[in-house]
Amino acid sequence: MSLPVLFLLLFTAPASAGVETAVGLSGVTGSIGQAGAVSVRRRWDSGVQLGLRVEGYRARGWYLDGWPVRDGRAYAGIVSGSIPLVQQDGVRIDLEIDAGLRQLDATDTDASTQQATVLIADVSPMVTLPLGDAFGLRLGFRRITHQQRSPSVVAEATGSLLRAGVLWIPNEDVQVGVEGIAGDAFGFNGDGGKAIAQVGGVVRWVPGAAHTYTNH
Amino acid sequence: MFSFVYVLAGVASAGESDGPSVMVDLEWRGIAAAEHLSHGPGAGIALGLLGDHLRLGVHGFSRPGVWNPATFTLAVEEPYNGQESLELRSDGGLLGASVQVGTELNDALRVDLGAMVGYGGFGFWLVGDDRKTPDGRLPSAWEDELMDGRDSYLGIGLDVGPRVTWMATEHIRPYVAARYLTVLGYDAYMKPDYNGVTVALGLSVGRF
Repeated sequence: MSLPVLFLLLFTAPASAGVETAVGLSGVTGSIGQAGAVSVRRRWDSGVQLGLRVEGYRARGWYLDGWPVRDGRAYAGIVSGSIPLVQQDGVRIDLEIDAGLRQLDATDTDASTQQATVLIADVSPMVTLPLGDAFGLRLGFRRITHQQRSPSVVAEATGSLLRAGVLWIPNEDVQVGVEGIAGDAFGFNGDGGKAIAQVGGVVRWVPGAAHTYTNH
Repeated sequence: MFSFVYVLAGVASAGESDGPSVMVDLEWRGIAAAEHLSHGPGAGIALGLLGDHLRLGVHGFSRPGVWNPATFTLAVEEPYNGQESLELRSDGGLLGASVQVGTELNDALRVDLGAMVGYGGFGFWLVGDDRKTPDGRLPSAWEDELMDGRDSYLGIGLDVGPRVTWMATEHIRPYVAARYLTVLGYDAYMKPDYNGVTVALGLSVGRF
């Protein structure tokens, strides 16, 4: 069975008991420009989650083959997953995994080419702590491993980013989250960026399950 | 790191309230190394075994140069963009496997002796307008030439020392840790070593 067909079945199949579907809209701004994303995710009763996310970026402060990108656009397709490590009253710890491809189209750069393809593989242990009935505190970090595959194969960014955020659950159908993320990002043998600092937000529609769907 | 986390997922047995401790550590470090002061973030994840007296995990920290103003003077043999000396910044970090052995002193405090063995290093780089190189090549090419190919050093690193945790709440516990840092065999043009002491202030969050 091909991957596209598998994902189609995953996300169009009727939700059943213990399986929840969430649709999210998110945005982020910071030291490397701005980005927006649309995501869809399924959560099973075991707590395992699997989804797709499509991202669009205004690429400022990026690098292509080690050359600064002063402006550009980028698009990414990400397969996102989450594995529960701890699930109990008062705390849950999930391992979030993102893998995908990102395409950069640089409109203002000194690089000899204007396009780059980057392979993304991020791992993020995240802790969610309920704060009353309507809020949750989210703390963790993201280990990023981004490798440029074209025009040359080279590490685009590796590093660890601290994450801290708050989740607000106004009703049983919606989650609203804000998060700050910051840390080092080393790439292109030192010619790339040195650090990342961003803030972002997400609105997630999780019909009837906003309180149980307490991560991401 | 992927392999460790798969083991962690299996051992943690999600959902069991009496399962082993699993914690995420988030910290900020002050670093006194290579004859200067700097700072940067650190993070890790660990699993508690043997009654939580032994904690195994993955941990790392970094020293982003863009967040640290300290510079290092490099005298150049040939003028670089008309300058006879350059001010460089530094950055680097370590990531590796961590081991902590510890015990609770009383209801409020826990003490651990920890060690992280990892890979990483520290280097030095051109700053600001100096990154506009005389011949248009990438800054890394010039950094390599100006420092005889020793603009940075990567190798096995050690980060060892005690940690005291205040068991303030069931799931969030502040800690302070003092560590001795060294990169074995460090040999960079600007500094013969990057040894020193770090002090971390952090939060350990999770199931204890």
